[in-house]
Amino acid sequence: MAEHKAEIGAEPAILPQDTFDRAATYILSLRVDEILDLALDVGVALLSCGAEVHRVEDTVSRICAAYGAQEIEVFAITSVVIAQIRMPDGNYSSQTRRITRTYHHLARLEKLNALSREICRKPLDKETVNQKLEDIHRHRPVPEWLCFIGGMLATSAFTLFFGGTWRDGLVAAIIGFFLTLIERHGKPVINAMAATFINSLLAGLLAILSVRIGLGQHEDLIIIGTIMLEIPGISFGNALRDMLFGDTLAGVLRFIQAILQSLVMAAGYLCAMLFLGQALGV
Amino acid sequence: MSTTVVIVKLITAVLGSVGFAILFYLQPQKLPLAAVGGLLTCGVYLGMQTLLGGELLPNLAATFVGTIFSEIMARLTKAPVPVYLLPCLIPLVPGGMLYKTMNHFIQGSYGAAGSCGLTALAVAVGIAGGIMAASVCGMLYGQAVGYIKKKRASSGFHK
Repeated sequence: MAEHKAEIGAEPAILPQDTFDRAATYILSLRVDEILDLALDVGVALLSCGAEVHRVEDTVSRICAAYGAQEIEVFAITSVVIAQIRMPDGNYSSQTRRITRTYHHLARLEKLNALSREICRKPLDKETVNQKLEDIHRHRPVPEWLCFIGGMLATSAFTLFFGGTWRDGLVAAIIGFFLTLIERHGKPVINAMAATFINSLLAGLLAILSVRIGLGQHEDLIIIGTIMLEIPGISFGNALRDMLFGDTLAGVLRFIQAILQSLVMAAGYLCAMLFLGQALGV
Repeated sequence: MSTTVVIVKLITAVLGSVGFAILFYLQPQKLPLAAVGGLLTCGVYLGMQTLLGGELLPNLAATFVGTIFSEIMARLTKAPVPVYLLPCLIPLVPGGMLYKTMNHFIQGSYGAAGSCGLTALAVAVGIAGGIMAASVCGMLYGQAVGYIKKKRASSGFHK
């Protein structure tokens, strides 16, 4: 008994690292607000770089549990995350975050997932988590020019995939370059739907014009190659996985968003085809 | 389909998958896996199409194989499934059919537009079915592993 008391009376600072457990929150002296804030920072970052909704809900609740939260309620759809946690001492916090812009960033998704695993293994303090989040956001997996190569490779490869000649592939690569340029520098400032429309219109116009001036040979195949860049195929896949994991609402929202985007894309190409068809008399 | 066409399709599918993976900021060291995924789904799709014909079943089989591949790779590397799944599925996206639908629609041949649109829908349904079937397999596997671990832990506790 005496030994036990001596141990309790010891300085908390000499506790070895691996005694971190559900009481970690007291050692780290995080308030309940800060815990939820930190968990939501990770969750929102995950959601905005293209994670499924169930992964976001799971991550937020696991992080809160790792910091000792007792009751955890998290609800997420594609544009909002709502969460409430209660600590064993009765303090509670409830926060809501709105997500306005989502994009696909697989490297960031992977790193955020690794960070959340790390936090769940051993809770980190607020500064470390913020520092790590900042590092993840600043990390550039590939240099700028490689993105353009990627875009050009994607469009030209699919033009050839559907049976185009090398000249068609060349035209598709040039269009892919412009599309990537708009995607990277235009999307942050224009509405996403408007950007899709402009992209599709531009791709359609360039494809038809290139055939008219004799550079490309098959306008249909060039257009198909560039369509692949604009189709929100990925959103369809994510929507299905969301619905499958029980987040029906989030899945339906993503699904409708993807359908709308495909319609806007189709409208862009239709305008290009109608305009040049009328103007140049096909 | 002649052998040359098949080879060209496989090579361009791989290049396309890698291109998309770069656009989606996949980590450069993972690009070979994206290439393998693209080759796998496209290969299964072409094989099944010569065997069975149609669009629904080949797409379903190809997506199933691609999703299982992604689930396995995700578990091996402790990374999220979408990291591997997205590049895999790119060669199956029915871009050609959507273009034909639009083109027929403009020219006023609504019957042909409808039939092309339905073919694109069949592709989409096939992909959806493949993702769902394989994801359910992944979920079942995860739950089975969790259950066995729990069993072992509790039996160890009682000893």
